[in-house]
Amino acid sequence: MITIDSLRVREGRRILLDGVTMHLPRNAVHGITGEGRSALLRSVYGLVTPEAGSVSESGHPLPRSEMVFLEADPHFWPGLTARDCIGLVRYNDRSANPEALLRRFPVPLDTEARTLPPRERKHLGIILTLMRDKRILLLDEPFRELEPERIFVMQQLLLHLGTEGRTVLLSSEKITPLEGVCDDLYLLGGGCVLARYEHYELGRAVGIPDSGAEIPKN
Amino acid sequence: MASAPGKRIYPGRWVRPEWLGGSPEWTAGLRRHPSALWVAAGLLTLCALLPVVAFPALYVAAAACGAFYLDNEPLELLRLPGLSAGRLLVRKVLTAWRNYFLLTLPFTLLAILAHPRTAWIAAAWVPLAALALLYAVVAKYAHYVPESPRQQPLAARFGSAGFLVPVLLPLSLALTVSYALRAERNLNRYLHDYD
Repeated sequence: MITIDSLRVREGRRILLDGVTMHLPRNAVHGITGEGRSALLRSVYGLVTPEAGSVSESGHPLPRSEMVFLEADPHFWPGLTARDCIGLVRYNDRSANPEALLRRFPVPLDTEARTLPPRERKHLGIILTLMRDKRILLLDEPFRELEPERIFVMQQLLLHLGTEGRTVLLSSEKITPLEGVCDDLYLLGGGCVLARYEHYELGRAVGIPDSGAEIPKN
Repeated sequence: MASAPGKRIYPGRWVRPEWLGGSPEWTAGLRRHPSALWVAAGLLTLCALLPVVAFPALYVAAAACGAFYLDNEPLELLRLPGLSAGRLLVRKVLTAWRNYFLLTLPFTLLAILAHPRTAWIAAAWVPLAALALLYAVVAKYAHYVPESPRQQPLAARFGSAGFLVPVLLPLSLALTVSYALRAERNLNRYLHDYD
């Protein structure tokens, strides 16, 4: 069980998260939507230092070496081609195999990764994230920029990841692509968790406008 | 050191991270500056054929290679090896030494063959070049902040200059020790388990 306890994240004067508490069972796909979803994933990964709160797994600090993070808009280091990025992952993890993912998410390999169009950067980000054998996957907007057929491929991959013993936290602006994928869905707003839906309740959650207004009580 | 948007890099397969010890710094550095690499190779060949100047030229090349360590890489790239802060630093330094000494090996051999009498200068070149690269690595990680352009403090700039201006060398050596300790503490913030 991954426990996010009373997490508070501030950006300047603005409080993005204020007392977010979640109990996330392992080996499941957890969806997060609403305001502050990216801040939550970034603070779990360590890109943002929380002001207060803790993230633990079974009472121990969450091992960062077990996590991998897909940014909403992946950006890459200047000077590295897509092939270099994949080569660096393979150099550090010999078991990582990008072949199947490259067929599903094509990327021009000999182009500087940073200068790729947003969709291909997203493809490369997905490949680099999913080719590694990490236990905890933090995916920020994995469906953004993808064409409908690739959204379907991504949904199938996520279902597969959930069943093979990975814990997936994924954020999405829209709830529709999460249907049939997530085991539960957290709705954030005003810096805290507004509601939690089980997978069989997602149909109810789909009616929530993306703006976060008119949020029904859970 | 970041290349300007739209600036072409060398996209070929002569530069591979596997051949460079899995170093993103060296891979990106060699790809971004292919023409500088050819100019440096030409100059080093010329210097290797001249008496005395070969090893000082190789040392200047070591200080120039320190520029590969000017930019902060994304956190994902830093965490790729899955090592703790201390072990990651050791690996970064060893990789920098490996790449530098392997790439300069042909020029070293040429210099020794062309002027065997001045080969003793290599005894000074090896430790000084290794120190310059060690400084570049630890100075980078002492001030590492993911996803932000590196702000090099004035002291660090003097420290870098110390490897080319002998009067500043003691400062550089002192900063190397200080930055090595600080780099491990700083990297622990990003590599240690969530606490």
